Amino acid sequence: MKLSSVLTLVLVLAGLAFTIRAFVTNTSPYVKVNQLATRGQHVHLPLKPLHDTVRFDVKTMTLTFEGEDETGRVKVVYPKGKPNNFEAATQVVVIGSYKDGVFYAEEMLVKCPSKYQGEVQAARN
Amino acid sequence: MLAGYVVVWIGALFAFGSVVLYLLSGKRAHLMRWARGAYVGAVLATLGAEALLIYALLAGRYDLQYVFSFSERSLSPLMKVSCAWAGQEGSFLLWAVWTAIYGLVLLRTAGGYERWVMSLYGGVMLGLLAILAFQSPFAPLPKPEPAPEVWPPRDGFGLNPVLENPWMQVHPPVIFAGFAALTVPFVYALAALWRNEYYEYAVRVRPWAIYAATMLGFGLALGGYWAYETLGWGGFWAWDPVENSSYFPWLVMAAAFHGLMLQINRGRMVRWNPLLLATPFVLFLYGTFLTRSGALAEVSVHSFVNMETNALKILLGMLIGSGVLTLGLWAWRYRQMPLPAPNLTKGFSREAALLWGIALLTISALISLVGTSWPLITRAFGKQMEALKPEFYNQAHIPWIVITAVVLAAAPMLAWRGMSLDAILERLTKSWLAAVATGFALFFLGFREPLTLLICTLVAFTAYANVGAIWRRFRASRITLGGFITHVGLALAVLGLILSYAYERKERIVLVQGQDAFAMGYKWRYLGMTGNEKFPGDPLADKFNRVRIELASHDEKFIIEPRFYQDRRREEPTNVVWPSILRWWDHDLYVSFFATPQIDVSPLTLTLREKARGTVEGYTIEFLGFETVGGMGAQGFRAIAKARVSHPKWKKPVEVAPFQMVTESGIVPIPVPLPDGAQLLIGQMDVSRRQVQFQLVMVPGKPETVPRWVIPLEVYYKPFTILVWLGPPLTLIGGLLAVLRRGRDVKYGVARATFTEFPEPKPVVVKPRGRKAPRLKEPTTTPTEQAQQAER
Repeated sequence: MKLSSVLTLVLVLAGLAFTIRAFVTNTSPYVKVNQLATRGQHVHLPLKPLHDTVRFDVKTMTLTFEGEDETGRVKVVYPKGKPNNFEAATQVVVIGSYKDGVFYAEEMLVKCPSKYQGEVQAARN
Repeated sequence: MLAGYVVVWIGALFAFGSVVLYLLSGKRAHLMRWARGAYVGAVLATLGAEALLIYALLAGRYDLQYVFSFSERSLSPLMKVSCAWAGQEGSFLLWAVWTAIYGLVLLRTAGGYERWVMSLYGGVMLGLLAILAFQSPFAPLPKPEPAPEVWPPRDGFGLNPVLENPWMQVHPPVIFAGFAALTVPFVYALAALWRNEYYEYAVRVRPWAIYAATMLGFGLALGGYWAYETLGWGGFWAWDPVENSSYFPWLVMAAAFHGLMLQINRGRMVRWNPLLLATPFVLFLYGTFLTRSGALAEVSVHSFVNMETNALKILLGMLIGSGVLTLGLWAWRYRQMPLPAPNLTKGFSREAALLWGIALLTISALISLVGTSWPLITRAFGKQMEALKPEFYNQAHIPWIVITAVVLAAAPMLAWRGMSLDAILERLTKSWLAAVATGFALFFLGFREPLTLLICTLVAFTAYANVGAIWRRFRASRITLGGFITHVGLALAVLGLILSYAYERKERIVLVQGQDAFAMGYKWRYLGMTGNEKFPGDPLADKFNRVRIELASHDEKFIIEPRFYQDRRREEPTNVVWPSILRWWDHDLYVSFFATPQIDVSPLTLTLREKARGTVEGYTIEFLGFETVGGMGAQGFRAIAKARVSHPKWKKPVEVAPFQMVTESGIVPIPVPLPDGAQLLIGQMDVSRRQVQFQLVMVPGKPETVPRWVIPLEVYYKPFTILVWLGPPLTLIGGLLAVLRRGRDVKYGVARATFTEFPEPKPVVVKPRGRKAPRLKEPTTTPTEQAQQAER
């Protein structure tokens, strides 16, 4: 085999290994509450927010609430304010990690009963 | 609006007619004129539909569902025109309009290919017009029951304010110009497979492929600018499915026209090019389907609107039809295609660089394609659904961008026939030295993360090497500079994106009215909101509300005014954020909001020891002394904290004595009123340490006691964003220059040479399977190559 072919092969394999590693470390599965203890790092967690448990600290813009799915209940801490439509939300997807009984959300997608008007998409696409 | 429906249907009929007539014109040549006429008819109808929609928007026809949903009276005429692509129906129409216009150019330039490409092209037009017929922008607004007094409504529901800005006038038209242009390479590739002719088509399709990639790339860049300038995400690119679905067609189209270069100059890639050229159109349909069908609704931070069922079926039909047709035809023809010329190069050649380029572009496209589709793939296999974090795309691209940078740096120096490593190194020395110098400069400026530094140095290397190539050729032949200019532009943009992302500093500041915050080397102070003038107490309701904030360092002082408006016309309020960006030559200070500003009604607190004094928001409280009345802890027990309170607006201080009392229901704080209507009371109390927490409660409605705004700011320090602004315009210029050059090739130069060099396409004869096609001779030097050699 020529030197250049060997070099090419090595480069491509190294690149592939890197890409696959990026893939493995960055997948974020959708999990249920009862799975949090075992695979609770970097996950998507769909929840039904329990509105009587919602606390919002305006001074730090921290939202805490409890949410449940059919397998259990968990406390969620979200540091990025209260989304406008949160009060009406029937379902949220929190993205983040679970630690010591609390789910620390970095992102939150809020689903409302009404269909959201997504003109941004129409224009951006 | 009946006229709109009629025009769209007539257009669809004309498109159908043109397909049939073009197909028939093979045997009956006189039908060609009629076929052209039918196509022109379809174009006129499409343009007519767009004109009607714009007329309806300008004239305020709020009896139309589309106009009612996306426009309103208060918009400027220019903005009303932009509403023509604010909604789904309108953006399909925009796509159809560009497609129609390109068809006219294609019709005039396709030469001997006209019959083949136009019959396919007419099919695409038919599909788009059929979607518009089912999901029409001219549908009437359904009349609610019971009927309102005023009908039809006098004003529209209104444009989403997120879209109400100048970017809306440029980004969608440009990116759709790119999307629509993908159709032309698609039909050329299919026509080539259909005719089993692979040389003439390559020269004819080349300017189109470059044009499509150029427009799409520039459209993506404009989208990035829009996001940065007005959405307040703090970045240009977020790897969202919506963005990705226009990103991977762009990459594949770029790979395709590089493949054409290899084919036309070296006779290679002949078999793969048709596939590369046809795929972007199919991928774009796939992306449109992903983002319009709601398939990814659970995954994206963006939101989606589902399409009308029949229209969605047509879109799905177009996707499956074009995908099956492309793959099927290609697989069927594969063994009949001429074999590529053998690789005669030695050492490092431009040929090898191009092959690498094509491979790298394809890899990047696959990364984003698989990443975007991953939630669907995992769901299809019945597993738990998995999404990929945006970080995946950044990390996955690292090794490839390293290789790409080296290849792109070397490419302009390489000769087609290959050269020794020494010769290349000699040519690259200057650029390499400049790149290393840049690397050191970055290092000393504080950009020290090794991997990022390596990548940045290599990308700078690409930029310098290509600038060198431009410099050397500038006098000789300016028209050949397109590629190099594009590569410089890309290198600058990538460098800017990497530096501004990898070295960004981000801080969240919760800025409370009346309390200074410190971040990023500045003292931050909330000054007020302009919306208070129109909506006292509720400034967020003002469309033009600006949040005034003062930044002060020891030698500078700025006032910034990021915009925050809450659109409450819909069930869910939409936040409209327009960040404030302070620009220096080497960095931006980007101020946006991470949440909705809130009014804090919780009390002001001040914890004081006995005899101490403190100030909170103008109120100075002096804790004079502590008194207790009654038995400790028994009912009726009172703990009294005497205090002297003053405020600059009062004539004189007051002495008050708020207390806590033990009652049947527990300990109750008893407030005392202050002269301005605020109330002072005692919170926590530590008798042994003789320490009391005073609370000041603001009473709403009293003008003196303004509620305190809490402003959740997200502040980014982003270095070298200027490069992101420099790169894409260069890429556009370079791309258009290349389009011009390759367009001329079709007209005068290579076209004639290549067409005579290769045999005229034979009529399609289906050869028995498995028989190998004859190996073609390596093409002799083409005029372009002669020109290039003369330059050296």
